[in-house]
Amino acid sequence: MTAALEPVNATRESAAPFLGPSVPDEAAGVAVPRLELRHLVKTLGASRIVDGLDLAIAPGEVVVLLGPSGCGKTTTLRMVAGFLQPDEGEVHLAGRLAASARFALPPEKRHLGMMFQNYAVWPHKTVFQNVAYGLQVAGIARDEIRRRVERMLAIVDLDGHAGRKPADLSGGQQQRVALARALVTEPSLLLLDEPLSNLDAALRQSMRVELKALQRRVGVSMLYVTHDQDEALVLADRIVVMRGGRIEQIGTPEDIYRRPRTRFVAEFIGRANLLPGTLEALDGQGRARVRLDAGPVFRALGGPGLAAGQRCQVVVRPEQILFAPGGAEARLCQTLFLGSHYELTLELGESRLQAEARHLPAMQDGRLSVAIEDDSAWVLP
Amino acid sequence: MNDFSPVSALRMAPAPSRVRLDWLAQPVRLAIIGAAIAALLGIVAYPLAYLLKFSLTGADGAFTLDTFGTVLHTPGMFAAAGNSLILVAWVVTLSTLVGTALAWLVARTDVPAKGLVVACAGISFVIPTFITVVAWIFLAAPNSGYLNRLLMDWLGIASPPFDIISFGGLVLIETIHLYPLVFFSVLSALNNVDVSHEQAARILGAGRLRSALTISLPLVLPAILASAILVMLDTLSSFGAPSVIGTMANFSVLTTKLYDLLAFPPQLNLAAAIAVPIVVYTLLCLGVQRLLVGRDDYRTLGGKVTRTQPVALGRWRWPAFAASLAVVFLSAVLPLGGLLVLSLIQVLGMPIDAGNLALSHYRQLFDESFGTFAAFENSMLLALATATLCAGLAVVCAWIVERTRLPGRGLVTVLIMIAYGFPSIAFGVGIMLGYIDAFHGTLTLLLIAYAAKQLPVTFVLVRTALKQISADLEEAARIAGAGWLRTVWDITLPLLRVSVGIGWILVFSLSIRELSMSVLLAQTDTQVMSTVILQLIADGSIEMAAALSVVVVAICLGVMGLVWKIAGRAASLHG
Repeated sequence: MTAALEPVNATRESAAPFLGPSVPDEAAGVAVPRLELRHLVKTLGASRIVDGLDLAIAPGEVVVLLGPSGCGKTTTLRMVAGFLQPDEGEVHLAGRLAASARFALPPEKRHLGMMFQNYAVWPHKTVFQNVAYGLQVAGIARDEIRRRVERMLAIVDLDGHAGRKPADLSGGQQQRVALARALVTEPSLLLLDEPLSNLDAALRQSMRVELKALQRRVGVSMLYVTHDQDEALVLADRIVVMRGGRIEQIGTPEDIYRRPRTRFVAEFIGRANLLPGTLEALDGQGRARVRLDAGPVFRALGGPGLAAGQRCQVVVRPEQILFAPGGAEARLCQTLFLGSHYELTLELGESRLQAEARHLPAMQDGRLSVAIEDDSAWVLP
Repeated sequence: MNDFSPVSALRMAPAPSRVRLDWLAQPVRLAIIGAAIAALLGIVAYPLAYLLKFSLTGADGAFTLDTFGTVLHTPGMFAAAGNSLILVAWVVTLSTLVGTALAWLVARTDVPAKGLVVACAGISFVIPTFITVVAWIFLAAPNSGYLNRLLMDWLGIASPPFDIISFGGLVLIETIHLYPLVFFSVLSALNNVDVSHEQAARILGAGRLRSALTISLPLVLPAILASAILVMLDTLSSFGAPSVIGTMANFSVLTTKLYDLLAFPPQLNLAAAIAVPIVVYTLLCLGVQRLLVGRDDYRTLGGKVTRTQPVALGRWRWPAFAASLAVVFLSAVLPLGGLLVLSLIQVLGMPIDAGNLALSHYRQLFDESFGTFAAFENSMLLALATATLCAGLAVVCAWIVERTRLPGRGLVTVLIMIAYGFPSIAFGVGIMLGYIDAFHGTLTLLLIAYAAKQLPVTFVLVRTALKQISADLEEAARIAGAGWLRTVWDITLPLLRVSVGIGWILVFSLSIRELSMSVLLAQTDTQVMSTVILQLIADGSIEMAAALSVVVVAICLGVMGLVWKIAGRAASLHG
């Protein structure tokens, strides 16, 4: 993925005719969201699959919908794409109403790009024909199509494969064809429906990185659906954690990981120990002194609205547990060696703890001394 | 034969999209789907409703069940029903025995010339009985039959050994035509039964015969029963051979009796009243068959013989070979050979030598002043139109069933598949009742009948293929900016082309040899090849009938070969 790309903003301006005349003037300095969802609702029978979603995606931003299966993330994506119609609320694309309960712009009029879980590369068309299709439908001149398709194939490292049929390509290459096809029309928003989940683990990791780099260069806005938290952390500018059709939390990857708003978010992203304790003191700067029921006392971080003396739940990540003399005494239950580090299961008072250590800590009779790093654990609101 | 499976379509597909939106916003889609549903209602539901209505009303139009009573008291009806029953019993028994035994020989033993047996079974199923009957009359009619005279000369016997113009002759002809149903069904079942099942029994000490009877037979029993029911239905609703032989030997079965009721003066109510019990019986049988098979079953010709270690027959190998050769001879070589010779004979009854053979019958067939050429044109036109209509309807209907959430789309399947189980002649009565006023004496009347009856063939093929194509492929095109129609044209149709093509060809060939409905619906100007053949037999021009039959057979066999080739190529490309 080393091919040069023309200045991003120039090509995006040239795409403007696709967006239709009703796109408000971006030059005014107000960035119109590429996507805006207003109180979006989708019901199936009695259950609300998507239950009042509000979200906006700024130009060039990557938003990842993250959640367990059945949380409504794919349903949301399909409403944005136009394959489902919302029962309440509105979908706005580039400032224009695309769908409501009474109106639906068909998918082909929304000027989107989309990558599917199973690639959905057309088996009867060559790589070139696959990528060129959207441009042909748009009625672009033949020379222009050739130029743009070739440039796009170079970007995804598929130059030289234009004449091949998808059946002759590997899974990763088919994925790139799908990506090229989705990007070549310079869509105002790229939708991705778990696009990497069919790839094997190694390929998934490298595609993740490539996708991120490519997005940075092309500057396309993305709405990305996944249940894979690593993918979300790597790719997202903002992560939307969903649960039961509702948004549990929106924030940057750091926000979501370090400052989860709910127990669900804390446990869904990364590994977390949730430990009960008492707030002993607050400094007004978001720092709090916490005494865990299991013993340790340390300085944790917390949001506004906490009061001294209240009971609380503290999110302690495995890497925030330190092994130093003078701490609380814990019992070691299990040790797993994972190459770069050990994963330890500890028993501290009544609670079980997941901890990480680069070297096995000193022990006596299967007991060791643990403390919790200051200024890193998080008090749930 | 239809497992077109593009690589990416094989990946797990998400649930079909719940398309509820913008039906009104997409007038093209609305119009096309609306037209398809309207056509379906028109060609299937409407005639069937008429059939039911006529059977339940008297001459004055009031509701009555008397028609059923009148039917029972029609002279000869009881005998006809009895004949049908005996015919069905014989044909089912013989077809099941022959078909199962041959299938076992081919699938599991080292009997020679397996390919020949399979090919001949295919051929004898493709050739309709009103054509084989022509050949058999030439070969085995009691006095003039060529085989009879040959054997009488050779063996010096006084009386002819065979009599095809008899009930026994009819049983033979029907059995030869229908045993392939059992054969192919059991063959494919046997090939699907893992040989390791039998081998496990052998390890545990069961002998060859014992493991075949106690392990393989029970495993393929559903296939045997299901195909036996199809044989039952086909025998019950067969019309061609019963009509020819019945007329000559002076007996009736239900279908020919029904045809008589429609002859002048036509007693439509009575005909409808006979048709209804046949239909009810048919639907019952299909229900039982569905229970046995437990899935959408569609009979397809084509058994893929997988390599397994065959059972060595030892000294029984050559007797088994002789038996299978006899079946091959009876089902393909004799009738086809007889037909060909008969079509060339100048003077029937004279010795068959170079001086007595010429192409004059064929020249006469294609002489435009002679009536048969018009029939040839009609048949070709109808077959083209039917195949195209069925292919188009099948694509739209399959798309409705597989890709939309329209309420009542299950009814679309039911409506299409009803015609599959429906006896042709009863369906013909329905078409006649429903459309005789509007389309009397036109080819449209025949087109409606053909299309309704043969739509299931294309529908099942196309639907199966569409199921294997992930909906994502279509959605990707929508996202790329293509509208519904363009998506179907650019993506769906190209991916379905093999199935649609095979469906088109099969319907074409079925239409070319359709008789049961044509004989009811064709008028002077709308005769087709099958009805002309029947007429030529009745007029005694059996050589002309043979010549026309050869034309039909040539088209049907050519088409069968084409299907085999396309399906094989598609399978090797994507399999």
